[in-house]
Amino acid sequence: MGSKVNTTFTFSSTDATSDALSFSVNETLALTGSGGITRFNLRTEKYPQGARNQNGANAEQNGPDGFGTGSGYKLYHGSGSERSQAIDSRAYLYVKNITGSGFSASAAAQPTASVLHIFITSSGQINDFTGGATVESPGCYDIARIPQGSFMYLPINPRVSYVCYTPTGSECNENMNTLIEYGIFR
Amino acid sequence: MATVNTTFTFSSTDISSDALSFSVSETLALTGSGGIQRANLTSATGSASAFELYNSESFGDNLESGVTSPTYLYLKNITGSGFSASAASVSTSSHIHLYVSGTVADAANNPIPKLEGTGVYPGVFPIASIRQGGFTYVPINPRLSYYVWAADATGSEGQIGGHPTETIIEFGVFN
Repeated sequence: MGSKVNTTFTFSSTDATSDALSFSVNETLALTGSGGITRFNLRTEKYPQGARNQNGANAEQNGPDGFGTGSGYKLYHGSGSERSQAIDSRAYLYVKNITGSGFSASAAAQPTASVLHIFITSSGQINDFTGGATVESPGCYDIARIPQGSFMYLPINPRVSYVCYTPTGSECNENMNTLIEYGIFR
Repeated sequence: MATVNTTFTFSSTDISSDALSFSVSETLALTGSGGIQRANLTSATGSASAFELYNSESFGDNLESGVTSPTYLYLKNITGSGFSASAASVSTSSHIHLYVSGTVADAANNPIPKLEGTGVYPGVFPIASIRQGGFTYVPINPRLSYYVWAADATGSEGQIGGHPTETIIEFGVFN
């Protein structure tokens, strides 16, 4: 069943004289098939052993700095070569890095991460824009880095997949203890 | 320097089936921002093919140096009533696409392919496709550059290597 979701994004500034930043934007989304907002610990609830190849991800696909998608959590699985879905489908991603007070390294056995990284990759081969040969998206560097307490709202490209991870460094292949909150709306 | 408060609110008319009534907020320390700007992708300076919203070296960071400053991008597709094809000589676009690229020429230091106007687009696919009236808010990766171009929904009839269609955008970068 679909319902209407209203999103309101408001800026306000304490120094409006120098920065005209007091405004609000709104949009109404038709919500279909959403699982609502979910919250979990990226490591203990999804990857208790820092396992790879979760969510059907292909470990051969590389993310930033050779980081395999199998080490990240796939927030959204893209449609791949189904270009028509880019026309008909609207999909929106909300992600927040929850980790904060009450969930710090001092409270957990494992160290925590303070930055949630997001990158995109394909769900398989994607036709290039010429309609000719197919190419496999190799992934790319982080498209977003969400500091502790921050959030992201993105009208996503339905053709590609969105993956998140919380490394200790650029070469870490295991997720750190990190609470995230996310939702996909269509 | 100013402080910017951002509040993002969800609400639903059908809360019984979708628990979507909540609000998140954060406070940003604003430094070096030009505030909120509007630009026509056709006439804006530097928009010959795509419009650069953020340069990876804008705040002194690059691929070789560490990045410590969170940076935020707000972007909205304004084009709507009052700015349609019927009112302008050049056709308008109802979609804007956001993509990332590096700015360092050395391929060894910059493995991110740039979108090219040669008929084949080997670059990174759009990370966001924003419809008319839609917006996005992203804590960006300061090591990358962010570009936007106007095209159809798929991006396949876009303007990379050509000239953007008449499209009004509104954006701000906060650091």
